Amino acid sequence: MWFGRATANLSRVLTEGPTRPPVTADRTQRRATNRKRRLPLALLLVPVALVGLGVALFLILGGDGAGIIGRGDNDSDVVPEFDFTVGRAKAVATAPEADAEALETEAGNIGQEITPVLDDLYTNAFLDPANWREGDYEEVLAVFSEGAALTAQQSVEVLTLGATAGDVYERVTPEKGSLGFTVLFDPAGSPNTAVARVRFSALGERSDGTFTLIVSKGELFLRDIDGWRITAFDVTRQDREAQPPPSPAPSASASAS
Amino acid sequence: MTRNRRLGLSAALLAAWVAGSTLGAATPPATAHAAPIFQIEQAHAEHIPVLDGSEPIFVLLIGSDARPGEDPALTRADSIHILAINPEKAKATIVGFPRDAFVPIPGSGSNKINAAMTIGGPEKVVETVEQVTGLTMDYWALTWFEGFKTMIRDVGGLPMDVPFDVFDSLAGAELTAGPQTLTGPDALAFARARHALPSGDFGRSENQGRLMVAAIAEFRKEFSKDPSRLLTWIGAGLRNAQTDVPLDELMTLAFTATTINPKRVVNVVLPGSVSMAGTTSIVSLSQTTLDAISTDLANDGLLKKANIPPSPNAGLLGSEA
Repeated sequence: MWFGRATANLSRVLTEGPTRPPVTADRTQRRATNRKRRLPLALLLVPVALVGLGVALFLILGGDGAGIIGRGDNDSDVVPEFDFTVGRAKAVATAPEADAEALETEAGNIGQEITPVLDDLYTNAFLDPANWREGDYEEVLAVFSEGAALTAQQSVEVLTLGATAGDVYERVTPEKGSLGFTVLFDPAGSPNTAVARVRFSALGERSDGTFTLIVSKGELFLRDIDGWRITAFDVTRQDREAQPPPSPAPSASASAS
Repeated sequence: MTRNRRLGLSAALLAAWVAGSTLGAATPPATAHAAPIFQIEQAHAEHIPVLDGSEPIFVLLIGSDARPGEDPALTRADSIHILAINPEKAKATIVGFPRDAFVPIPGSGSNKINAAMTIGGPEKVVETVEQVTGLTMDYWALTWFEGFKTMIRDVGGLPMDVPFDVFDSLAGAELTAGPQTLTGPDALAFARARHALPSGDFGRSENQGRLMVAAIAEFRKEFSKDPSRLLTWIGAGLRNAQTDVPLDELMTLAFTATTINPKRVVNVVLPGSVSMAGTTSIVSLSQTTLDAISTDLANDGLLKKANIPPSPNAGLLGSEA
């Protein structure tokens, strides 16, 4: 938008030129005199406008795609796209004569049903700048059951990027995420509990220019209580200092969601 | 905590009772494009929905003598144990009944306690035990030979330190002392063997309790390495047992079972003397000990040291007993 608006202004300057005064008596002479005066002015204005445009573009876009003016108001506020890679879903039957094959298929379906919930959970917990800049993870806590929510709230530094992440990080981009499921079926063949094995990592660019690999792994017990809710969890954070990414533009894959 | 809420320690413990091993394979950590230089921090968070409160929970664990083709719920109950759990202290007590204990069976006069199930199924065993002890059982769980073997197989075997050699051809037991992983048939043989034990059925009942303690230990260990194993154990238990514990309650009970330190589980057998009732050999329970143990259990599910009877296998255990 910034670029488009600047280009339009430049185009108008070049085609319209400066406003001309009304023509009076001695118009031929005056016209000639004026023309002589105006010509150098036009020559001056065009380069000035070009330089101004260049400066504006630099400020807007910056050399690495993260311009000074745009920073904080543009691409670093964009929520990076993130989807877990889903592995095998295993079924556990409780009925002696259960149809194992049918339950395996159903376990896969349950896994597909839960995956978007976890995509959103980890996006809200680690990737959405609107959340981690403010340390506000209300959407994350909403995924936990009533019984687990209090512990989750007390564990916000493990389950999310953290309450003070906004002071630490400039940008966070997803690296890898994988899910595996085990689903327990009741004797009637309905899903009772699913355990999601989660592996997630993201790269955080710190304010001081260093990088941190944010790693979260663990198991989440989920039950369908008006939607899939986490009823129990066992999660570990293993953050590490990391080298800068090889690509100079970690936000290249990011897009608004 | 209400009785309803306390539903089912059985399956968790049934799961524990059942057995199993096979540690969950640890998944390698995710690798990132950016090579880590060194670890900054490690933090852990967990929440498991366990029962709390000091009121004990009682589960009656029953082993049926049913052979293939027989109804396990209407065959003699040759293995009867009360499992008492104190959630607050994360401790438990296992009390075994000699199968020949001669007791009043509600509505049916007096008989060996193992006959109760042939009269009225697991519920009659519960009723009988409740009358004898004055305790109220919260749940019951029942398994049988094939169910027990399959359960052990389904959890991957049961690691146990067999305390002494057990060779009993009638039970199919050929076990040397020491740590080992019992297969389903091994575990069943260990649970059935009595001819090789000087104290006979008393010692056998204690060994059955040992299997339960080993199962609690293994269940806890596996859960700590891979929490999803909890589902595996519950599935193995429910497919191979009967119980009155609803699945939802069983989940909570299973979580609660993971908090119990197996070293803090006391395993005893009610003492008694062998005598005759007509032409039938029976066991007369020591009323004094029975009363003391029942009172302790009713209080908090745990036994006072002074009320812990000596191990019936003391002669085999040496200084361990």
